[in-house]
Amino acid sequence: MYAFRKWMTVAAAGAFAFGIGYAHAAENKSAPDAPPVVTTDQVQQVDDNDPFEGSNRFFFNVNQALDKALLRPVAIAYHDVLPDFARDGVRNFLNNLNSPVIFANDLLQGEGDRAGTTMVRFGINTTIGVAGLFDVASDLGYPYHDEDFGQTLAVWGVNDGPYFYFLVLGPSSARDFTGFVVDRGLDPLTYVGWGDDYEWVPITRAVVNVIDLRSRNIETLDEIERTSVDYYASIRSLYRQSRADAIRNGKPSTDLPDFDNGGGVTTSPIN
Amino acid sequence: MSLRMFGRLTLVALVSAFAWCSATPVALASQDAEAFTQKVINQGLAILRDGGSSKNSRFHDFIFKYADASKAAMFTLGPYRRGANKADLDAFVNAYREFQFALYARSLEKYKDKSLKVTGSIDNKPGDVTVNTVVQDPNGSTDKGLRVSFRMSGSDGSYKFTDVQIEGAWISQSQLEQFRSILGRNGGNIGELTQEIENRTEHMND
Repeated sequence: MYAFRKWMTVAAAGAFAFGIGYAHAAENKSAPDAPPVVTTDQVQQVDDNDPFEGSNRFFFNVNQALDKALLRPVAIAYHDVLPDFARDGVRNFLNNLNSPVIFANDLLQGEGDRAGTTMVRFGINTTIGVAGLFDVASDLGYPYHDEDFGQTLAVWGVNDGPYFYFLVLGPSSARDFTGFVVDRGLDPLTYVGWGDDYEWVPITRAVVNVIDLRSRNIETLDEIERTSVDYYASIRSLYRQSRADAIRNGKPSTDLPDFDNGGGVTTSPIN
Repeated sequence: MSLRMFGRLTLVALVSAFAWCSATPVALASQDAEAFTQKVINQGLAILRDGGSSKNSRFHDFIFKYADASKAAMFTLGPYRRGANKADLDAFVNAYREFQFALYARSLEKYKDKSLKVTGSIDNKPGDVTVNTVVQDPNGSTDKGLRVSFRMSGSDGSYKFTDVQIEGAWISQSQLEQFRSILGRNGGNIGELTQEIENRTEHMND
């Protein structure tokens, strides 16, 4: 039970990092066929999928307060104290540590080429890249890409389920939270320290990951907040769109709304 | 060559020519939209780079000339636009237009020292094109460049921008969710939403 609690602690910290880092870029791919055009009502079916909006908004406000009081100031200090090359080294190191999870999900999605890229990247960056501090592999034509079990479930045809905004964890969905827990189980580092004196390793990794991701999104999140009339709804939409983009591996979306149909309104009047 | 063979070749040539003619307008439409996007974005960045006292008004005119704020505004209202009176809708569109201007001005100001490189386009349907670009560093590198896409309506060198996508997220879809959330809480009162948008625009311009 102790081990499970520790795992969940690491999972929670990692999910929070994931939540604030939702804007992370996915690998870009070339354009496929022209996408079909859908209506506003189809777009809005996604919007309706927030049955716990009341509690979600409550936890969103709590997290906002925690962020302003603690995480954001720490992230700013981290950003100001460490030079760019040092922060890049930290990010490269953390990305490299996550390679086993990415590799497993590449395989589970049947993406042999991407799995190969992940494996080669891990080999090059762990050795020539000095334990992953330098991303030599990208310079050699093996760019970084991200994968997780939430994306794998989506590729397998699992719908995202209701939207959740968790305390500390941040934005998620039933599918993504399930994927997140499975990913922690796939991660070898999760098991480091269980029952011995190295339990600080996965916890430190999770904390540094949170701070580093937050430091990379200070301006972006400030700007989103400043330009939103409803910050909660804005984050919810951007989270969903960002996840959909990651699932498509950066390919163009296939469900564009029909502007020429006035938004494609087809349901009965609301007034 | 026998007459029969000649006839068959002629038929194949005619069918190929017909297929080429049918396909060409779509391909040209995308190339046309790509060239238009590159030209207009360069113009916009040049205005921002030039600076000067008239920069704001020039950029304002620029955005109003090339962005179809009305179409985007109607979309972001979703089902709530039905049954709304014309005065409320007009006021909303005007407020939305200024909101869009403030948003684009803020966003593009950060990239004025960079450039956008067109990477391709998709014909969504006739008269509806998405042009994909990537932000380029001053040294020409696009290694870690932001992906930005522009959705446009129009044809033959005359287009209006209807939406912008940054790293896979469309602005209009985010606004649709935000506005719907506000309208859902206030009983579909478009006037109140317009007021909120005006307040936010003021805040953005502070």
